[in-house]
Amino acid sequence: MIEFKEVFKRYPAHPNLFENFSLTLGAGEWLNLVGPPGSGKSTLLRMMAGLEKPGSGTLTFNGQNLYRLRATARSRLRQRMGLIFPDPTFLEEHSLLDNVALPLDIQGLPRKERSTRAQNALQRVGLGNQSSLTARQLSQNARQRLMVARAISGYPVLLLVDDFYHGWPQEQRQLLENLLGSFHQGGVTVVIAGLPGGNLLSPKARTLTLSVPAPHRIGDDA
Amino acid sequence: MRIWLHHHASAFRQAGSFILGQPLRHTVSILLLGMLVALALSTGFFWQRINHWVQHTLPEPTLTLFMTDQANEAQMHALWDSLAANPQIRAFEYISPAQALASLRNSPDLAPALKVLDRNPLPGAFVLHLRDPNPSRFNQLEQEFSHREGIAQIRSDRLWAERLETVSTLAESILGFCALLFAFLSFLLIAYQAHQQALRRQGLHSLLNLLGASSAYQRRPFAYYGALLGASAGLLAWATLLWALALITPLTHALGALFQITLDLPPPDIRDGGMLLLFSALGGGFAALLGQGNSRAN
Repeated sequence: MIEFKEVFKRYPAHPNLFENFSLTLGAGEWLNLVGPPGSGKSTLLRMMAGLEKPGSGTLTFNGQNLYRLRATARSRLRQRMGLIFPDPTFLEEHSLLDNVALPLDIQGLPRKERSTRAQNALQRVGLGNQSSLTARQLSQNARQRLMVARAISGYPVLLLVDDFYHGWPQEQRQLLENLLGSFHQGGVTVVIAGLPGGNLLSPKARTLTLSVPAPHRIGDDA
Repeated sequence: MRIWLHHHASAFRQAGSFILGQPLRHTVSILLLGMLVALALSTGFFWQRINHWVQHTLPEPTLTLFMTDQANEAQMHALWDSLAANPQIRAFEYISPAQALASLRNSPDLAPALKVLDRNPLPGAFVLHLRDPNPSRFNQLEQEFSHREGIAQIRSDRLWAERLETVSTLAESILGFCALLFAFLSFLLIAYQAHQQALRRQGLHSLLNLLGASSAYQRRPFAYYGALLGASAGLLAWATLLWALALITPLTHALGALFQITLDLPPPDIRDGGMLLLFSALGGGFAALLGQGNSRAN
């Protein structure tokens, strides 16, 4: 599904963040990305999402060179991804239902279908009975769940999760784990970036460990 | 197609919400824009009318070919034919020596002097009305007919035509500049408004980007926003012009009656109104896209 081939990525502060980096991720796979802060986990996720261009090398998504595609085509591919990143942004004055339905609106789904799917996604993260509240009225924890609902509402084929679940109550962590697990069982590719020992990382899955400054592959732990 | 329509309808609703979200600000903006467009529109409209009045009220410059006493019938006919075939001449008339004399006899100053003459000294003359009273055309025709047999003298109103043209060009330049200036100010105002709206929604744009919205999806509401502002301004300007015409027309009629001329101010037709709305909406949409693009670049 996703293939990094001889990718280089540098920042002024991290001149050797990725050097000659290669990775192949099959459809329906679960990948744990583990590493300390600054090791490039988020950068890798953003590159997969088509949001951050590699310095050189190729990144293909379903055989298409992601950064050779026109911006519109890349946006269309992103519609098939569910992005769960820290610091969620919402339509603050709009209802939770509107927020979750936004990606569906971008996809051009009819109003009724948008509403049904959004309500269903809210239900799955435990916000089903609060759908008429505005995003501004939610607690930090509920906002993060709202982002999960928004990410899954579009039935993504790829879920990219950046670790933000520290401090979540056990019950809700379990809910998110179950949710991601069910999507994975349904054939969705899942990439989770987290600190070593992170709660959402699947012990059975393949793990790629990144270090500061240069990444290297530890190998498959699965 | 359904998705495309859905996105356009959604963008239109968003554009409406931009305006309804800040009603006071947008009411003031639309009033200001309406005034600017009305100024641009009335400048063009009144220039057209004044030009029309000038052309129909002031004496038209002509070219007169005075014939020699010896000009014979054949020369007159040949000249008549060549004048009739000349595409630069809109109309011409022949004034015979007898008609010229009769005309002068009507003048109270000249009548006593003409009574003592034993014969009519006046020549026959062709008076030419040009299709395009451009001074260069006068020169061209003067040269064309100066060597013609049977023509004794040519009198041209070239200087008068030059004066008319110079005044007309000057007025056109000044009014054209004003109209452009007002139109440009309207354009800038819409671009600025769109820029402000885009700045207010910068967070939303990064969110839409994250969710896979294309740049067209993000730009479209701004295009509609500008088009709505432009069309509202165009509509207001149109209403203002009609109102101004209703106020001014009785005054111009009264002025025309004093000078025994017709000074009509017929209102522009509905097709002109449609074009105004179309251009205001298109210009507004384009201005808003520029304003929004600029805010993204920042």
